[in-house]
Amino acid sequence: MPGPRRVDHVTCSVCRVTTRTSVQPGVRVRGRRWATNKIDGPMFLRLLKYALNRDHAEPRWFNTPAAPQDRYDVVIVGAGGHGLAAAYYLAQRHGIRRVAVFDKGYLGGGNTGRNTTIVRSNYLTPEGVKFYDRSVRLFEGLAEELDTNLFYSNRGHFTLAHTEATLRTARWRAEVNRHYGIESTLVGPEAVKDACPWIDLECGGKHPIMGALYHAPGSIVRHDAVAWGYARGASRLGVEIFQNTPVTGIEVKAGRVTGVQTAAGLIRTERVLSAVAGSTPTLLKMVGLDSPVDIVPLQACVTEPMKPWLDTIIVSGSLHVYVSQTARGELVMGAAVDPAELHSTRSSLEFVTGLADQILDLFPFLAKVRINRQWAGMADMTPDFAPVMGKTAVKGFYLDAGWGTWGFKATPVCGETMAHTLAHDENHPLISAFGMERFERMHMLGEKGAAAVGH
Amino acid sequence: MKIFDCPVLGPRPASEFLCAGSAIPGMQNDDLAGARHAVYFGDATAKVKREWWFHRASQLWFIVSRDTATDAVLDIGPAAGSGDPHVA
Repeated sequence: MPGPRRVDHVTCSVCRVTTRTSVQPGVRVRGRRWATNKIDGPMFLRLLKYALNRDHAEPRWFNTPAAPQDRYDVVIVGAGGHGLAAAYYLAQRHGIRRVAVFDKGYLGGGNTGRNTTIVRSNYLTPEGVKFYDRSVRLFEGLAEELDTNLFYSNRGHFTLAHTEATLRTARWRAEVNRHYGIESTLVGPEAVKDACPWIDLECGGKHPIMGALYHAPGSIVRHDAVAWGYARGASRLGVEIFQNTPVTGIEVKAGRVTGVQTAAGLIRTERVLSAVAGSTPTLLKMVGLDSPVDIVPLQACVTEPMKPWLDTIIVSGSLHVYVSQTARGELVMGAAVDPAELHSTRSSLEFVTGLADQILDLFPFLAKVRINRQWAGMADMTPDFAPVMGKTAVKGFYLDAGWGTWGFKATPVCGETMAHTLAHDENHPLISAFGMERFERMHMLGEKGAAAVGH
Repeated sequence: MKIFDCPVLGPRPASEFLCAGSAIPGMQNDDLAGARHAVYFGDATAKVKREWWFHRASQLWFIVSRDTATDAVLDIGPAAGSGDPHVA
């Protein structure tokens, strides 16, 4: 017998539409169990009706004018997370709304859409720790600020140590983190086993796990939603976004930026922000600066979906792997960067076979799980694994680069600090150590121990 | 798998080699600022580059001309006798 009818009103967190639901558990339609609602019929019919109903049309997330204006206060090159976040904060915090964002491809189609979506702040240098901590805090309130469901999922993050040396670095990171009020602790192998019972602590007997750096705030976030959320937020405040519109040159006169040459014509502006990851050397060349970053592909892949079994993020620097499970059940996995410079997003069989080899040491039961997709992004690597940010030798040309394999987690704080830097023509205090002149002075930041592989 | 057609060792898989970065021309010991700039800064756009590559098994160094847009190896030769000023 069907149970009593319950009538509820449910508001969708994304589209803000309220629907009536009246679910009678156990109603069968032609012998099959449908999710059925007595008022409006089975769910698939309701979805179809909803999709075709003009009253509930989802408004466009952002608008692109037919042509750009001939002058903007700020031009941002690159419509990825970093560029769009900077546009949003420029408009929202600093009232600078005559801003145009240009991208040669589609929104969030570069490294924003290619990373493995992990957010954490367990870095090694004080500069890095303070910077990424601010980013995690911004991320935590971002869904509300942007009124967008970012699928922010707090998982906890284990960086495994298989050697005494890694254990020492883990200890060092835990101490630096705790000094700055960040929840990171050194834990033993049993804590890893507790959080992830499927792991082989012996790693096939070859490199047993001796302990781990546990970082409680470690999370995964839907990366496309971050880019789209910032795009919508910026667009509502008057920012104009132009996709498929490459920037082909930057006009510099007497050491100052005067304009940007785009596929849609010459745009006058005195401030340009470069947020283009793998194309950074190309933009630097346009303004006549040498590049401190090199371009190296970073590859990643996902498995076929499976039932949830992994609710933490597992990273092993020694095995060169990191893995988490998405809401869809796929394992997202990545490894170290490719062995040499390459300006291409091709992916390789060597990557996926090498990664599978290492993952099976950690989780032997995955041997029969298939890889569904693999892809690559062009990472802009720096010698010290810290970013290159702020003002440059060319007045009005601002750089947000050197984000290598660690940039997604910094999206909000990069937007915030670069917006401040552009608005005041003065580096934000949080990025003062990240200027490119540090290589001339040999003031490296030494973030490799915490940035490499561990995402 | 990518193969290096090596004049000394014959065709070898690329995974046997390590890339040690660009062969930077014209570094002088008496110009440290210039050397520093040459090491950390450069034209990092896609183009044909001369690079140091090391073959792990034979412990030999090679100078490789490689197109960093396509990954095509245009030329590979032993570093010794290449005329490169940094090879003893």
